[in-house]
Amino acid sequence: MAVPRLTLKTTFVVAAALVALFQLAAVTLASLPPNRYSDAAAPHTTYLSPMFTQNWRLFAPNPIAEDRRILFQGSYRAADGTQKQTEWVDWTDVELDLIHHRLIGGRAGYVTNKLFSPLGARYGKLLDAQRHVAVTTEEKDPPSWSELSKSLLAAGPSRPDSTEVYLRYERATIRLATEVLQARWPERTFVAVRYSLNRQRVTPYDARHGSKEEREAARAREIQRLGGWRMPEVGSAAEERVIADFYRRHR
Amino acid sequence: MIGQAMEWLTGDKRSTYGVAVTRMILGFIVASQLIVNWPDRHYTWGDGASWTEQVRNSKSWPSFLDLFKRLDGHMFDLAYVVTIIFGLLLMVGLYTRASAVMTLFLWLSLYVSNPFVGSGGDAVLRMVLLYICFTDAGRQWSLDARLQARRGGVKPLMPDWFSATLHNLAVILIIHQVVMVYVGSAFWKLQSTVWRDGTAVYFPLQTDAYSPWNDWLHPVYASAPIIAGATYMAVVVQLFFPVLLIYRPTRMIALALITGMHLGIGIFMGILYFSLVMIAVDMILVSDRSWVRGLEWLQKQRKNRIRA
Repeated sequence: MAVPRLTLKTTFVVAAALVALFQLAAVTLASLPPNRYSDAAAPHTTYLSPMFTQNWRLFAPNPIAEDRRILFQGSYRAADGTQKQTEWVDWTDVELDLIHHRLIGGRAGYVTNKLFSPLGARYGKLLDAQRHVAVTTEEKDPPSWSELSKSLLAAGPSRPDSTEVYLRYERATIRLATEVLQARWPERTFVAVRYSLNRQRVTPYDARHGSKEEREAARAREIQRLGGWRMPEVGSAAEERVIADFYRRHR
Repeated sequence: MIGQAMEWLTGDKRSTYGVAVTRMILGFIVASQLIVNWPDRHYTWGDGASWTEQVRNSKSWPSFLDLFKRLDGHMFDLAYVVTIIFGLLLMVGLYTRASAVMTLFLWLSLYVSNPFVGSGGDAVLRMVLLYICFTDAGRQWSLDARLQARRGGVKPLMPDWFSATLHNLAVILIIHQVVMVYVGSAFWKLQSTVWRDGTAVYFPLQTDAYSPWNDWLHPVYASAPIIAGATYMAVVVQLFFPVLLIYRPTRMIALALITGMHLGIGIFMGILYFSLVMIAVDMILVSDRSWVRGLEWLQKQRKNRIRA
């Protein structure tokens, strides 16, 4: 077997091929579902994230089988001095205007769709006592973010990381909620806002041949998870303007 | 064998036509996607996406990709238009390597500005674009190639074996990545009963988000043979994709089936851009010989038409 002599060319080619080979192995192991080999190699494949993150589930193992919606509600001071609640604004429905009956859907049509899972998952990682704190805040006097953070940590001091990540998603969602509500009712001054994550299973496979009404009746009841009341979180004027414009064009 | 491998890597550049087609479609995707999303660009990636900053700033992307996060108003629009222009330059193959690098940089900067917009298609796009930066993607079917033919060749800075090695290794990495997308996805699917019992495709087609035509096409989506056919086809083609690539006839069948599958997903589930990205990358698997034959056939048809 002829082995090429060691030259600049062979050194470069061998080095480049080894790098490529390592990448091939790392991508292979990271792209497969969890297994003992991928788990063993995991410490050596962390470099793949975020540029080469391998997540190719593509509607697997279980394809999405429910409608997911994020709705927002505000509490505002009425002219008579009392505090009143607005009706719910279904922001997912507004975004879906970019998808329905469009061959090429708008990318903004999936924003709340993609927010839904991580927002729910971060809440799910809180301890039971922390979840209780998160959802039982007062509508009349919602906590500031630092007060909420302190209360959450007091309820579950062993989970500072999950609390911090939960608050990050919570705060982002509340900021969107505030701007959406302000776009819907620009004349109102909001005292508190909250969101709701609604999910409803699609019509069961065996009930697919029914009429539209029968198919709708065969669906399981919608499940709602209410977030706690939070102080309104406002962004820049430009941010508010863009969200108000988006709402106007797609409501 | 080592000598043969060295020769394969350092000799000719492989799949130059396939890389060119992939380059053209990816450039088209970047440009057209931004044009289509122009009316909602500020909500999707601009000022209107600033509410995500608590989340997006926690991601581990390097800070040099913060371009679109830092820009607002007209400066954002200018950078957006520049991204479209580089996408078009990549498509037509002008200053190809620089266009590939700039498209990758700008596209990634846009991508990281809203963590709730990205999809699997974006992930494949960025990985393949990065690999394309190392290929000679402008060698065929590009303005660079035309200009070079007219003006004559320029002596390259680096020796041929250097660029050939990088090109060929990048081609291997692109092909491997697309194969792993399919195989990884097939293994995930096999773990679920709904994919094994042939009903999986029904479920997303009933949701608001992944079924833009449900109210018109429900009778089709309720057909058991159609649902089972689409479900099993997806699993079988993805699982056996690498095996089918080995022989030319089965490779052509695999590519035809998977292209059909992507078009179906893209049109009926409303995720056309993901589908187009995958079709673009699959094109690298068509051999140079097949592209040349296809081109000759087209030229012959055109001549016959002119004569007639």
